[in-house]
Amino acid sequence: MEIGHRFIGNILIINIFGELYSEQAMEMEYKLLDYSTKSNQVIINCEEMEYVDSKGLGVLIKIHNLLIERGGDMLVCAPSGKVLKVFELTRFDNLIKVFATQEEALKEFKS
Amino acid sequence: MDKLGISILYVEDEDYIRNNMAKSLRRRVDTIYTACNGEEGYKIFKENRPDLVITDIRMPVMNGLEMINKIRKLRSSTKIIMLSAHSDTRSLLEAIEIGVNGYILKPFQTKRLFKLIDDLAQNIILDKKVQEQSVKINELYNALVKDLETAGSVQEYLLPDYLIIEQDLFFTSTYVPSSRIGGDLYDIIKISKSEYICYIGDISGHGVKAALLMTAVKTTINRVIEDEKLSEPYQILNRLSIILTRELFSGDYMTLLLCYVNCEKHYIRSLNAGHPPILIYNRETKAIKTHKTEGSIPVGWLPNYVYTPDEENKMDFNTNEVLFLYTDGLFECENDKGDELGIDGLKKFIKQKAKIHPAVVLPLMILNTLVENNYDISTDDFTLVAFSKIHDTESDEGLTFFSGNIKTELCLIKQQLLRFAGFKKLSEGLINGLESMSKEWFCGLLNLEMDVPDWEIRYLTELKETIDHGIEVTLWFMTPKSQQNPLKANLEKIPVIQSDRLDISVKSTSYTGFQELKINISEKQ
Repeated sequence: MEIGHRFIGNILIINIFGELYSEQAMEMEYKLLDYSTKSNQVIINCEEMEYVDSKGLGVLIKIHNLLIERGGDMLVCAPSGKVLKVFELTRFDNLIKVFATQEEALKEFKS
Repeated sequence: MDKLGISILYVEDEDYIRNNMAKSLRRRVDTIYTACNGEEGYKIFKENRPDLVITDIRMPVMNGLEMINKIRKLRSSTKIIMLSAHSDTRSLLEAIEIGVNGYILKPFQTKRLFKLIDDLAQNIILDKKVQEQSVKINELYNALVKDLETAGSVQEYLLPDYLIIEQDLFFTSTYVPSSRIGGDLYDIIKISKSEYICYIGDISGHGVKAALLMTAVKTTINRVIEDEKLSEPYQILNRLSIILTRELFSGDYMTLLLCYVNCEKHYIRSLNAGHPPILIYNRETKAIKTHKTEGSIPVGWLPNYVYTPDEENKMDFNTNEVLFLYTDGLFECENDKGDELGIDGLKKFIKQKAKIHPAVVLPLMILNTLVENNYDISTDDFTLVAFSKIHDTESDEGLTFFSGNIKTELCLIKQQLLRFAGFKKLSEGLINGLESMSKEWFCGLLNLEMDVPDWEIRYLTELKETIDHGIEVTLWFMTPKSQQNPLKANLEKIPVIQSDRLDISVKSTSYTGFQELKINISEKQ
């Protein structure tokens, strides 16, 4: 698992690459918490994410809740394959807005 | 000067040199053994296992090289220093081949030998420390494994047995934690004569934390249902959400599928909080479908989340339907080719097996089938639960459940067989043959001797008419998890059953969690 980040305006885009298992969840939590101090508006881009287990999902929820508390928001975009299946099964999109593309997620923040 | 904390065996045939050197060594090293030839040296080594051997090569009785070869066979890591004359180049080559740790040509300065001993002593002490540490780590590991086994037993005790039979409902399950302990939980709770709560949950993460949470959560669910008398799924989830997020979860959550089952009014109200959907198999149409519902988010995702009745789903609960609840460890398991089972794969296996076996043994059957088909079920906790109403005509069709003392209950099969043969209008010859069996016939079949304790055991029988108008009796024995299975040994030694009027064949198969015994009875031609 690898994490990359960049800004488009004030919006922080976080890209997660590869498989995210419980073992890396703590590392990801640490990085995401660090990145999210830089912006209240975060998009998690899952285009290159191949798998996420329950612990990894828990980290995303934690970051989301934290941003909401701070008056911000977290959106997710471009999940596919196994990641999309996990999102569907757990009703992830009942809590967090999921978009098919990064452009759509960006539009949501700008609207 | 501090002495080196190692032991040395010094082998030298010349008394003068040996005594002088031993004297010098004693000043620097804790323990010194001496020997005057290879044979004596080997004997002392065997008895005392010194850390370092310093030896001359040319000696009477047994030379140094021969001794070293024998010593290395006893303990290959023994450190060795060889001392030899300048002219003995052949021995030098052999010593290099054996892999001695140092070689000094005679005559030598004692300083040089001591420098070599000091260097090797450091290695020896380090090796000893590593060994001590690895022994300690092993001890800790074994203690941890033992603790985990105890924790696993406690968890298993908290979960229901393979088969729970109520008056109008059966609940059957199979559970394999990924590492002795797990984060899956499930149960059936009877809340009135014909009302039940059946649920399955999965705590996020793995390992000890998930397992501890599972234990606490399970107790909490039972308390909320039994003590607070809550039966509406959304009410139960709201209560759980408050207790768990406030007192137990810290960054954790749980997917939960909770069903309120009303057997009398034939319906189920369920709330699916982020859990995989229910699968419904129809025993009449032999079709299987996924029960997709809107549902809600897992417990613990939002601390103040309020579950509502709108998120519940109401469905009919027909007699022919078998409902399957499971966790992601089941459909995410992969076979040796790396193919994931998936929910569709699970449905295929259920459909396949349900055609042959009664629903009550399906969870255990599917577990066995997945293992047979090289699916690796060890990467995540594996849970499969099935429940269904008990068929009104089930006993006429030949499926019955027994629970109790095996010796007395098993003898009742004769009555069951006669009733079934009459119902199916089987031949008089067969019925007469069955009549002539003694009551102890089936007990004899299982090799049950009089001194066998009165086991409380659950088992099922299924009777089927065969093509040649005989009867196929299948018995499944499910021992409560807390007991050893004494039947296993008995079923493996099936006695030959003789009958004047009937042809009888018996086959026993062992599965994970249960034993299957198939008996074919037909009239002799």
